[in-house]
Amino acid sequence: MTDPWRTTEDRARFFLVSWLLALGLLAISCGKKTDTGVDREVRTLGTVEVTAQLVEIPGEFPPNDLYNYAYVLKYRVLRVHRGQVPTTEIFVAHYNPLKPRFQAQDEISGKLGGTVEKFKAGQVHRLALEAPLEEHWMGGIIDKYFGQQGIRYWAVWTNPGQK
Amino acid sequence: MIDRFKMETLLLSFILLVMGRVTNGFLLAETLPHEVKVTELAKEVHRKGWLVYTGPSEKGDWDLFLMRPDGSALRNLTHSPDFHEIGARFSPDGKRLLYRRIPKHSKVSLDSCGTQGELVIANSDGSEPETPGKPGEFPWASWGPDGRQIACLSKTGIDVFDLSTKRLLRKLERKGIYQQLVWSPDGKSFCGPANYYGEVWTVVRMDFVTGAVNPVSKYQNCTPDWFPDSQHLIFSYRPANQEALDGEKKAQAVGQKLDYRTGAWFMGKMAITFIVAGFPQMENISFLRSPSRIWVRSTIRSPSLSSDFKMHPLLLGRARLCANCIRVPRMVRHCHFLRVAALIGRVDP
Repeated sequence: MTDPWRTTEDRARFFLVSWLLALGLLAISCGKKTDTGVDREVRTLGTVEVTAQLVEIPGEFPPNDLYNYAYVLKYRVLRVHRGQVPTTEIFVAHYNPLKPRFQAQDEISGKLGGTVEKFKAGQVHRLALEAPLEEHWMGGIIDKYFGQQGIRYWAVWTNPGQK
Repeated sequence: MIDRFKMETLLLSFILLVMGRVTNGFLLAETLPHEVKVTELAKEVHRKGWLVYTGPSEKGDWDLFLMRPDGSALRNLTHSPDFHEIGARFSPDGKRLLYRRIPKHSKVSLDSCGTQGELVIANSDGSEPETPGKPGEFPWASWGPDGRQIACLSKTGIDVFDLSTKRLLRKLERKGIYQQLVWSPDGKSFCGPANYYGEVWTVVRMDFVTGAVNPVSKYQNCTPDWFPDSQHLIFSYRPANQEALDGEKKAQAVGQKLDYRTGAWFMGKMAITFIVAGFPQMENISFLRSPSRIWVRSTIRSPSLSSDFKMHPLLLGRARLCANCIRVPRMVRHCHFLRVAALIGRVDP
């Protein structure tokens, strides 16, 4: 009976399999990272980064067949990762929210994106934000919370987050 | 008794018959043959200034064209195969034009057309075009009342520049106005579509001195422009569920989606409205739909939206005529596919 580790070929095969296994684990690990909503963009874009829960969607998003617009949504802030947020409830304007975030950017929006595909009340998002809104978006803004005080943020990057 | 009943019936029938004839005659008298209306209108408006607008050239780009309001004396002003020219407006004295010049390969965006390419100032016959700034500068430029200043709109606010020195003279908050800024002829106000009390596409008036804003018409309004009296605006109003008077035939003829009913309307010094439609490289082509879609509201004396509505009688009359003028053959060729993009000026280049 011969020792399977004796030959150079066997050792090479062993190391190759080990490396592939390690790479696979790394990939899975990275995949889990995406689930937390952390990526380079959300960590670096904008001046504020939060994990926040979408409280509600007031009304229906209008279709995008005629106009581009930003729609203001209310969030409850769970964690502030970067910058300062003075209140636990914030108002965030999303550009053309009917579109998946990775398809939303266009020639007038400036850089924006993320991995959220559809907005639903109760979702938790990891958000990179800018403020004030009017300095970052010059276009239609649908704000059903108009009477309520508070900074309006511009959503630059929107990923799914974790509570 | 029966005779009396018969008599009453006969009398009632006679009265009804007379009323019917009178009504019918009245209605018939009101309805002039269409061709007569068109001819009358063409004759009436022929010498009332000029229109400048963006239209397709033979070389595939979009140039500026000049024509009489009846569609005659048409000529190309720019002949620039490498560029599109859009958004032309006569200066208040009618001697100059401002417009934007965009490289032909660029996609023209309705939402940002006032910021695309370079601002160009030229004589009203298209001669001596000059570019006072770099591409993207002087966005949404609008003539000041004396033609020596322009107002521009950007994210940071409304900037008033001296045109000859390009010096910034004044800066105001934009108060939610986000495009299509127009300075009033008397210099006292601006207008434009704005975000106002949570509503988009609300046409507002802004006081030049105080910066105060009042709404003129909420939701689904655009392309406002001033009457010569600086007291009224004309703009496109697109209420929900509006009916299609032509059964959407015009829209369908060019594959237009039936929901796209927006339009731009411009009021000239001679009280002539004009018609829109479409935009270079845009999929959305709009059509004149109904004269009743022209809404004029007092901008200053009317803080309330519900009570301030007022149809300007002169405009209403003209608007009815203008609904027909699109059928003048030459106008059919242009107006159905172009955006008429300037006031009628008192210009005779």
